[in-house]
Amino acid sequence: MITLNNTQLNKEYIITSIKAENSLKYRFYDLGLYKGAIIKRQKSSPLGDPVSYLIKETVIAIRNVDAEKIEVEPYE
Amino acid sequence: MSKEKIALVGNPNVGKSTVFNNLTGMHQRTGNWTGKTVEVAEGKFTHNNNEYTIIDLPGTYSLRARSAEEEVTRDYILQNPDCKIIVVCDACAIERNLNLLLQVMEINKNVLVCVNLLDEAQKKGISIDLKKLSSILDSQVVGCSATSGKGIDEIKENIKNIHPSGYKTEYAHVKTEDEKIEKRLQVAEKIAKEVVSKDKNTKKKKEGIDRFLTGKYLAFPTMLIFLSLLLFITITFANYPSQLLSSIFTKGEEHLYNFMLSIKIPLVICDFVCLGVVRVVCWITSVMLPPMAIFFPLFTLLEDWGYLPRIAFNLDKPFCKCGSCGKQALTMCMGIGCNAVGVTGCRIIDSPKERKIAILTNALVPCNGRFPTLIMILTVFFAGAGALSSLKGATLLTIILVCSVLFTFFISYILSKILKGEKSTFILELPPYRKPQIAKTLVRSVFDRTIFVLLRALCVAVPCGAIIFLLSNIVIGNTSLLIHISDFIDPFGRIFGMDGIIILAFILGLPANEIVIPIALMAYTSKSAMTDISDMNLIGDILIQNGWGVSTAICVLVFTLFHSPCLTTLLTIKKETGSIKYTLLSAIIPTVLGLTLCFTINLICKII
Repeated sequence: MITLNNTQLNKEYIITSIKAENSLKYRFYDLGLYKGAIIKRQKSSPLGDPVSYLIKETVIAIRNVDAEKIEVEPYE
Repeated sequence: MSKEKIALVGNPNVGKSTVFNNLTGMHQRTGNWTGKTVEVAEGKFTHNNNEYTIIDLPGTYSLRARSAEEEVTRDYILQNPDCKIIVVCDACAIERNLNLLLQVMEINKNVLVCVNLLDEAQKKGISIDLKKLSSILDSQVVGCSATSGKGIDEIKENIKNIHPSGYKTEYAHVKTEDEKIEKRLQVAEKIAKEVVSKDKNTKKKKEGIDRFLTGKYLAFPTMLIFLSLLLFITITFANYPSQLLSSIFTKGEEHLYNFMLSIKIPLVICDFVCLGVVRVVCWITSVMLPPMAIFFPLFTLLEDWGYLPRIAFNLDKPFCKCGSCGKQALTMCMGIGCNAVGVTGCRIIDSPKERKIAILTNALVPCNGRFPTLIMILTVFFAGAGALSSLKGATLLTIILVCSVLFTFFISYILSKILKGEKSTFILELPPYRKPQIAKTLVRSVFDRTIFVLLRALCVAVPCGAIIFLLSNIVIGNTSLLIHISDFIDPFGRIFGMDGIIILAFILGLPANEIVIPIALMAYTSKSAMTDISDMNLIGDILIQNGWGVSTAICVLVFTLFHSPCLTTLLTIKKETGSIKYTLLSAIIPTVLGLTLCFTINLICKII
């Protein structure tokens, strides 16, 4: 099972599930991250954390510890 | 003439404030000092003989508010269910914006949809069928490119057409919160699919700037360069206007003095008003106004351009290790301009615990008011005057600021272990870089700054000036009360590498940091009123004659960095936290840190 923080650079993935407690989960939803959305890893911060991801034309920075809670699979 | 209230709502970074600025021109009272709306801003405009009041609310992703600034928006909408609302959407991210729009329409159906950033969308090959969107939502929909002013007139035309929408949300009957949220997302997705069309052939423009600004090796040097540049510009360009204001005020004070004498006002009162109160007010204004009027406009430009989220992105990891988050870096940047503004800016931090940490440590970063003190000491004792001194000064100041940042990390870490509360979830949008509306931003920002500084000068400086005048003119025995008190606390001051006059100057300078050195100079030269000495060599002579050495200079430097925030900041902290306990803590923590460091430095210097 691939989690968001383990994705490869510039490859597209589709979100399969979000295993986070409500407050974090709703925050993800607010920013367009939900089951079925397509996401792509863009760039990591100079110190490695957080990492920016491209989701539907928007760039969002997410911490690795939070990205671990988003399960994805490669999108062809 | 109807005076209707209209609220501007939308996600962050969609250009709400640009729409607001274009609608209201200069007819606005903004709380928007740093490019990020954290307070409600109000403005007016007239169209076809109707006067409208328009309210710019802080950006929010959802009405399920996370941070204090988002709560402002949510509360306003809930408390004003009958007002008209303009929801500003980003054409490039319609689906996400629709999520908020649907939430708003569940509470208030009087909505006008403004689809903004159409020019950006066009560049990406995205086009929106506005008519179809309008018919689906049964609301007015206007397309805009607010930065070029397109669509603003259409908004004005359509405001009178805002009517309660007949749109029925399909999930109104759904019971659980979870299901409701998921259904809303599905509806937003469905609507977006129907109105958005993307041209697959448009070439994707890759943004290379982030390679520099967030690159592995370039990010930190770039941030330091930006900081130094900001400081250098502020210091260099503030000098001349400060001197100009100073000489204008001096002449004005003279005229006032002579006038008061001529209408037979007693000499004592003339001295009290002119040499005491007016002089302090003018000093504070001439010292504070130019740097603030330069720093904040530049800072706002950086925010509008989109650089500030990148700073939070780069610095999140170290802040996270100290129990805080990257947004604290932004509040510290605001604090460099003015600690009171930095404290208000802490509303952008979600978690109450992290917000408290950011508020309590904001004063560890020196504000514009402390720059003159720092620069004076650096110039006289370390850098030396000369053509390059501005550059040298800016570099040394940057080094000092880095020390401030390191101590902020340290104190934040300690506070995070003591204070109770949850960590916030740090999910940050990195908006695309946009060209700021330079001229408009500069004018508006300078205007805001001027009003702030003048108001503060009046409220805080007047009582302060009165007290200083009384202390330096009430004579007991042979010397003034001021000298008596400073003699009394002299032994205490010496323990920390300073002297009684310096400590007293800091105490009397609580209302405003700018007057600490002038008060000290006044006491050293036994004058009974503050005098303006602009010759650095003269200042240096006076200080050295009165026992200042390198160790004294270092201790004063350190204590200037780490002592209680000024009165304005303390009042702001009380307002933002609603707690006297935290206000006192915010005064005690930096002071204790400063005194501890001074004690240690003094000890080391004595041993060497």
